[in-house]
Amino acid sequence: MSKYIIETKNLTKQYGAAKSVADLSIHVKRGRIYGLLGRNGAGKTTTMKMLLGLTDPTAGEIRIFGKPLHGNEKNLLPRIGSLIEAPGFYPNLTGTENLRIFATLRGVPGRHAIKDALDLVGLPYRDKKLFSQYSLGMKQRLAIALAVMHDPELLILDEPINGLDPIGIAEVRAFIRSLCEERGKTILISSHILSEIALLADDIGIIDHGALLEEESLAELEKKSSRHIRFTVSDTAQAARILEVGFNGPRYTVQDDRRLQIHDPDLPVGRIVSAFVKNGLEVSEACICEESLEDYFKRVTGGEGIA
Amino acid sequence: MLKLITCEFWKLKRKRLFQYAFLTCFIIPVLYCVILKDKSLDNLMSVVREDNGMLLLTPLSVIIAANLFFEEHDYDTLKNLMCVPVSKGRLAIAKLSVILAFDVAYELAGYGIAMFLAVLLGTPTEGWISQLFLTAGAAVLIWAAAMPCICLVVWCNRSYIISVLIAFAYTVLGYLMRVSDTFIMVPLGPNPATFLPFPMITRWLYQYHSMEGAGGILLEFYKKLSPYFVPTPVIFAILLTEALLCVALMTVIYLRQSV
Repeated sequence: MSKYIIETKNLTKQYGAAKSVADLSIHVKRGRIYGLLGRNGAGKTTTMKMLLGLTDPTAGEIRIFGKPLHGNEKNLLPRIGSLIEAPGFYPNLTGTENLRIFATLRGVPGRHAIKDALDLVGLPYRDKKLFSQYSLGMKQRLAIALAVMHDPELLILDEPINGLDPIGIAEVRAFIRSLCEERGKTILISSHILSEIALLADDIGIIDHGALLEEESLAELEKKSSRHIRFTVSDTAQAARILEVGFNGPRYTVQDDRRLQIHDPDLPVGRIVSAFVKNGLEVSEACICEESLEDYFKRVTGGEGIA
Repeated sequence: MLKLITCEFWKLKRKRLFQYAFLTCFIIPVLYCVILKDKSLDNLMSVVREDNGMLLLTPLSVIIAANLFFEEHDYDTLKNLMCVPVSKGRLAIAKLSVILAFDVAYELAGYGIAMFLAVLLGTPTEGWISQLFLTAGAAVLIWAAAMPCICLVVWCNRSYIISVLIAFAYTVLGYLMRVSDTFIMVPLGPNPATFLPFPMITRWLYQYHSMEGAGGILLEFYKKLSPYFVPTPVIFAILLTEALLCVALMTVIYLRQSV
């Protein structure tokens, strides 16, 4: 059994000269929530469309449940529930009637599946209200009901909280969480809202201008983005050598000729400063800095940040 | 496939376009009875097959097809269908099956109203069974005749207004061809007239017209046209082959359109 439910290799989508998605390699693990985070137009929806076979990649490979998507759509797609972009339903039909069409096509047996799906998202069964009369939030809920109705193993949800009110957002978040924790579903979710992904995802992929900038677990990202010690010294190369020899090579990054960051805030700052000075370095700044997840994303995305 | 066709029918629920389109099948037979004196069953049924069928049903079939094909894009439902997965080719065939069912139902409803009017007016109804089969056959041929136009509409993939314009242009052109000697007085063979749906349907239907009590001009026209009558197996073979080619082409066009 493959370790990854979704695995892409150098996935690329090109429209004319512009690359919407460029060499994207993501890895979604079984039973986890993977958050694809990026600004509007970063390539999240195009990626998801390619994962669902809705658009063909220009280059690269997609493997779902360990099998290549291309040529296996008939076997793989029924195991996936999806919500892509805006909810799409027939306006002249009620929510129940809309779901009945897709339940019939999917071969979902019995009426209880439709009722259960509607109950899960808090929409009434056999209501007379037509889809055209639904509020944006109700439409979004119906789209989520459609995604889960056939009890898929994998859910691909593109911005699922769009149009929901704060209570609705919290409910959907809890619902998605429960799908993963209680029913063992694997979920790929996209959002441009950092806080949302931070609250939901186990693993995060940061996408910007079609390219994957980072792919880490949330815990790892939080570690990366949290506290660090920043030094401004006269020679970072020499400072790095001192750290390697005298402090067992802690995790650090050299930012430029003068600035260096140590990502282990528990190291003794005083001892390090003393060691630097003893070795003839001029230390003009030493401080423990705290960086929010948002600051981190801003840095990773080249300063543009994420909403 | 049956599931897909069933779902296509479910999608029609509460659609006013279909309801109003269907109701138009009563207009011409009723008007005919009100305005004209000769109310024989044969003439009444000719009105159903030729005027109702070619003048009304053809553009209606195209407009309904435009509605069925465009709605998946307009309502953004195509992506949900593709994720089931439903292939675009099968979806296109299901939609065309709905149009075929609509066309047959429309013509049979026209037949029903014509029979009702005949009984109401005391017109003899001999030969009602052959009229029924002829009307049902005409419905299938009109469906096939609408296929090239539906294909054009799907290819254009434009607004409903453009589809309506294309439908009416096609109908008018077809209707003009069916009354022109240039297109109907042509022997069967490898010539363009053999592949033109409307003149071919006219050449097929006219042989079943009753000439009992017909005037001199009509009799002369019948005699003139009779060498060019098209046998039933031939017209079905030609028009259904054309329709199948159009369906295949439409499927390819539909496949190439993005989700």
